[in-house]
Formats: sequence, structure tokens, C-alpha cells
Amino acid sequence: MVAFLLLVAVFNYTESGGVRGVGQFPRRLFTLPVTSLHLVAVPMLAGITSIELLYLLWMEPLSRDGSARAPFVAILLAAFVVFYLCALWTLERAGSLRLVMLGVIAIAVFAIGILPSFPPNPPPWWRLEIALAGLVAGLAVIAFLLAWRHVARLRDGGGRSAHRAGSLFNWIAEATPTRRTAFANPAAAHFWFEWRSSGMVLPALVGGVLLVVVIPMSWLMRSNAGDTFRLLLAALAAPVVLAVPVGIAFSKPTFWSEDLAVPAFVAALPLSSEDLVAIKVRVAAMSAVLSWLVVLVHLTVWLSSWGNLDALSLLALQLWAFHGQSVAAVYGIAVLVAFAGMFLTWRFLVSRLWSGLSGRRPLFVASVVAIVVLVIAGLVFDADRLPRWLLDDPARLAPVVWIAAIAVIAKYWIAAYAWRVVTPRYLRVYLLIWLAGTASFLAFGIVVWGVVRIYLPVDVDRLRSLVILVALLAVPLARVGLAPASLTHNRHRS
Amino acid sequence: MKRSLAVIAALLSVLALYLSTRTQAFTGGIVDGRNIRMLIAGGGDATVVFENGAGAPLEMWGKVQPDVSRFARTVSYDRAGTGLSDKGPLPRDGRRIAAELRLALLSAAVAPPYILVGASFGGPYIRVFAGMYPDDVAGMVLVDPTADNQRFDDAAGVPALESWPDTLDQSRASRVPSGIPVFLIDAVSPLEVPFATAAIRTLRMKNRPEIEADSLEYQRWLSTFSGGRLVVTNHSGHNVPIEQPELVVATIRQVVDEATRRSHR
Repeated sequence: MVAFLLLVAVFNYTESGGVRGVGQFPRRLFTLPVTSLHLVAVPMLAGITSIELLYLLWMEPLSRDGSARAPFVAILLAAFVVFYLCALWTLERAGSLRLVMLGVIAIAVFAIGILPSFPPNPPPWWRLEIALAGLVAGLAVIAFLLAWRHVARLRDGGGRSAHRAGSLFNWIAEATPTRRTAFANPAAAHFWFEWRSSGMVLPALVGGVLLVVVIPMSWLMRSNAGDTFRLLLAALAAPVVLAVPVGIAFSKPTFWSEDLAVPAFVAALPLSSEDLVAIKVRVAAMSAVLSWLVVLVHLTVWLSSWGNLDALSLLALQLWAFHGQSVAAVYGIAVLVAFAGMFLTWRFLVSRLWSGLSGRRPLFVASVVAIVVLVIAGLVFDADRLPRWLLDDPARLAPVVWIAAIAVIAKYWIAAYAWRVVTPRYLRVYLLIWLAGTASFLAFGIVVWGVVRIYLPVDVDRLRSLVILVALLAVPLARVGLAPASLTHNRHRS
Repeated sequence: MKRSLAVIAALLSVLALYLSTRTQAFTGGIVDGRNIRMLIAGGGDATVVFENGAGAPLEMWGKVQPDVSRFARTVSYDRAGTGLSDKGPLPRDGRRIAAELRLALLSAAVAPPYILVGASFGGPYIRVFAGMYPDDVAGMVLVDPTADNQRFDDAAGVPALESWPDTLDQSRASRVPSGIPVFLIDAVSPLEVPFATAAIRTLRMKNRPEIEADSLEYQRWLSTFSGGRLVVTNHSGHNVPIEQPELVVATIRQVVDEATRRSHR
């Protein structure tokens, strides 16, 4: 996985074009005495060759458990390289949003890759590997032609299509109903601006993933109770998982820009840094709540119409029996899962504000790299094995509990220091949020602990301590307290 | 420094330090050089020993043992090869497990007599123990035990299941020590349950004859000796110590009281 990610990063074949996102087609190549076809085809062919060579190297271990045949996987990988470069070059106006689009493309290609393995077996003709390979290859050819046409047009100094696209965009913007009433105060105006520019991204992404991936798969797998249950877990995890990358962009002063400086029109607003941070925190809360509403509406429609509820029914029955045959307890746990999920989503959106708003690139990059390193380490070392390793020997829990205890002590003393310059009004409000979040994590932890303590051979006292300490660590307090000071520094720097 | 947060930080620091020192004290019983994990708690004249279900760790008694420890000394343990105990030699039949339990109890200085509580698979095991060491047993509670007619088709690779036919033979051949109180909790599951889909309801109905056959088997076994009593509950499925722990605690209490009265006579 790491090798493939590195290869894709190496072959992004763009160069920085200023403040807009992750780069654009290298304009300096336009002066080379070669055709535009060469300019487009050579990097694509180099990328395809490299990814196929890499696949050849990894083919044996990758194919061990998989049912997909090697030529099918090879075609998917080649097509992905074409889609990837085509999206990077042709959608340069979308800036960083391309990263999200690339994620969706990667998920879609992966979903196509596993389509033939879905029941029934053998699959219908349209889900045969050969049919899907033909479809993907055809789309790749179209993507290649689009990229070629786009680069050729750029080389000719732009063209009418860009103008047409701009006009279309403007027409949509004009046609969309706009706010007519005046804002009550500057804070309300800025809240509206933050919500429109960054708050809607997560709910839109969650909705997109549900629409593109979960809903089609849930239909295809509707006869299988186990798959339905796994998809249910995936749908519940979607807002939390997507909040991690979205939170990185959200923590910056401007969501869609790589520039960490506070835009002049924001810096000059008649709002304090505390107000601006509070608005971000509120936008994050609304974003998390809306994302979860999208998930809950999806689950209600799906499970009440074509979902296979057998596995979910068994789980509900077990919880019902475990909690003294109380139906209310089962519904209570379901509500608790939703609340804990909302708080977890929100915490991933706001936990990096202190570094993103500071304007200090090394600090921001370090905080982002920490998360990337954690994710890669989790993939490389198979994070699933960690809980099993911990539980194999009760003594192994001891250092983990100690580390968590030290982290709790450090967190709350840093918080006491960080919030010293924040006005009491904000502290009171945020403490209520912290209390609600910590209580919901604690309640969720107690429910989980109550179940696992019966089934796992473990030191239950240490496990309970760990659950409480993790709940105390879950809601950011020190970092949110540091954010106003970070923003003030960024706002007033020369 | 924000004073209000400093107070919270101080309180939570104390809590964090306290939590990091909390630990459960397990006792390591030694059987032929192998470590057997035991959890010994409570105090009192009677000693209650818990025998787990198939593959379950001692934590399965987590909702029962703390309450029983208020009026008796309690011992739960991981059979060799389950939970965190070392693996034991083959075959893993009832006689081997009973002998290992006795050695483990003695090595942990837990002297007889014992009131044995066995759930599911633990039921036949404590019957074998009582047959082998009748003088060490003061009472028995069998919690929805695996019935004498139970067979397992897919036993390959699981030592306890591979030896199950022998264990059942040994269990049937074991005599209950005369005069001791023996209670058997028969969990017949509620007929109507919430959240059940049509498929789950059908599956539950399909299992009904098996539950009824087990009930008949329990009655037949209890009629073979005096002092045996049947406690039927339809408020629980097979996992009675988890689903209806209060019933298990109350039954153990009754056996402890009767055994104590008997020992004073």
C-alpha cells in the first residue's frame, strides 16, 4: 500500500502554480519542440509502466487471497493512473478539492475491482471481469483524450471551453437562491461565510461516499446479512474517517488554499480571534451534526427498505439480553453511538486549529505529518493486531495505562495554561461542550467495557482505567485553548 | 494559569494517578509446572469454585463473582489452554480437568469443601469432579449445563471437544455425593423477543425442540439422586451468568446456606 501511494505521489506530474492547491500541468514544457500528444502521453505511459512493474513485483502476495485475476487488476491500475493524471491536469481550477476527487476515483476503481466477487456467483454479464475491464479501459481512453485536448488548448493560450465553463459556473451561481436578509452582526456574517466555504464539505463528502459506494454495494449485497452489517459499520465510520483529512484543510485560515496566512478581509473583520475560533468550532459542530444526519437518514431508508437485518437483529438481541432484557437500553446504546460518533467527527475537525491557524508552516506540517505517519504505521504494522497483542498479556496494559495517565495530566495542565488569556464567557461555553463530549465518550466506553470485560481474559481494573483515561483525552481542550493565541499571532504578523 | 481549569487539572491528575495504580490481583495456581490463572476473592466459611463454559475465560463470571464474594470465598479460573492459562496435556477429558482443578486449588491454598458452580460445559466437568472427590464437594450449581445427549460434529482441532464423548461418559458414570444440595438452572429462553426478524424467529423456533429435550434430560438426571432441584427460567438464554446474574447469585446463596446448615448438623 505504501509503495503504491509513494508511486502515485511521484507520478503526480504537476508543478506549483501559486496558491491554488496541489499544482498544475507544467507550463514550461509547452516550449519543448514536441507535440501536445507527446506531452500528455509520455508521463501517462511512464506512470502506467511503473505501476505495472510495481504490481508485477507485488503480484504474488497481492493475489494470494484475492479472487480478481491479474490482467483485470493490471487494467484497473493502468486506468487509475490515466484518471489520476487527467483529474490533476484538467481540474486544476478545483485546487485542493482535486485530492478529494482523487480519493473518490480511487474508491470507485477499487469498488469496480471487487464487483465481480459479489454474489450471486457466477455474476451477471455486466459484472464479469472482461466487461468491467472493457468499461474501465474505454473510460480511460476518454480521460486520455480529454487530458490531451485540455493540454493542447492550454498550450494555445486557453480557449472557449474554459470561458464556457466559467460562464456556466456563473450562471449556476446567479440562479442559486441567495441570502437577501441582512446579517444580525459580523459574527453571523462570518459564520455564514465559514459554513459556505468549509462547513458543507464534510456532509457533501459523506453523502457522496454513501451515494457512490455504500448504496450501490448495499443493493448488490442485500441478500447477505454479514455484508449488510459490515456496510452498516462502514456507513457509521464514514463521517469519522472523512473528518480526518477534511479537518486538516478545515484547520487552516482558508479551506481551499495552501496559504496559511489569514486573508486580509478576515484579519480586518471587527471580530476578536476568540470570536473567529468560536465560529470555526460552531461550524465544525454543525458540519458533524449534518454529516451524521445524512448517515442516519441513509440508514433509515436503507435498513427499512432493502437491508438484510438478520445480523443487526442478532446484535440487538444480544445487547437486549445483556442489559437485563431492556429495550430502552438497546435504543439508548444506539443513541449513544450516534452522539459519540458526532463528537468524534467534530473533534477531528477542530483538533488541529491551534497549528493550522498559527500560520507557522513547520508547525502545521508537523501536526499533519504526525497523523499521516500514524495512518501509514497502522497500515504497515497492521493496527488490528495491537489490541490482541495488548490483551495477550495483562502486564502489557500497565505501560499503556501509565502513558494515558501522563497524557491526561499534561493535557489538563496545558489547558489551564492555554486558556488563561481567553475570556471567561468562551471558557464557560466550551467547558459545557467538553463536559458533554467527555460524558458521551465515557458513557460509550462504559457500555463497551461492560460487554468486553465479560468475554476478554484481561485485567478488568486496568481496562476500566484505560477506558476512563481515553475518554478524558478524547475531547480537545488544551489545543482549542491555544487556537485564539495562534490566530492572533497569524493575524497581526507583518 | 486559569484558576478554574487548574482546579479541574489538579482533580483529574489525582484521578489519573489513582487509575494508573488500579490493578486486579490474579493468583497463579501451579499444575505440573504450568501456570493456571485464578481470581480469588471474598471471604467466608464456604468456598465457591466456578467452572467456565467452553472456551470462556474466568471473566464470564464478572457479573456473578463480585456479588457471591460478599458472602463466600470465591475462586474462578481459566482451564488449561483457555483464557490466560498455559496449555495442558492431552486428552482434555473431564477426569483430567477435574484433577487439574483440584491441584490448582490446593496449590493456591484453597482448601475443601467446595461448592462447585459450572455453566454450560462446566456442568459435566463439575459432575466428574464430584464423582472423583466426593468428600471435597459440599454442593453444586449447574447453570444450563451441556446435556448428556449433546454431540459435536465439528470437533477436529479443539481438544476439549475431541474428548467430549469421553467426558460425557465420565459425567454419566459419576455419582453425586449423597445428601449435598444440587441446583440445576434450566434456561429455556423467552418465547417472544424484541428486535427479531422473521429469519431469527424461525431459527429460534427450530431450536425449541432441542431446549425441550435438554429440559427432559435434566429432569431425568435430577431424579437419579435425592437433594436435586430444578430452577427453570424463561428470562434468559444459555448465557445465564451474563443475562440473569441475579438468579445465579440467589441460587448459589441458597446452596451455600444449605451446605452451611448441613455442615453444622
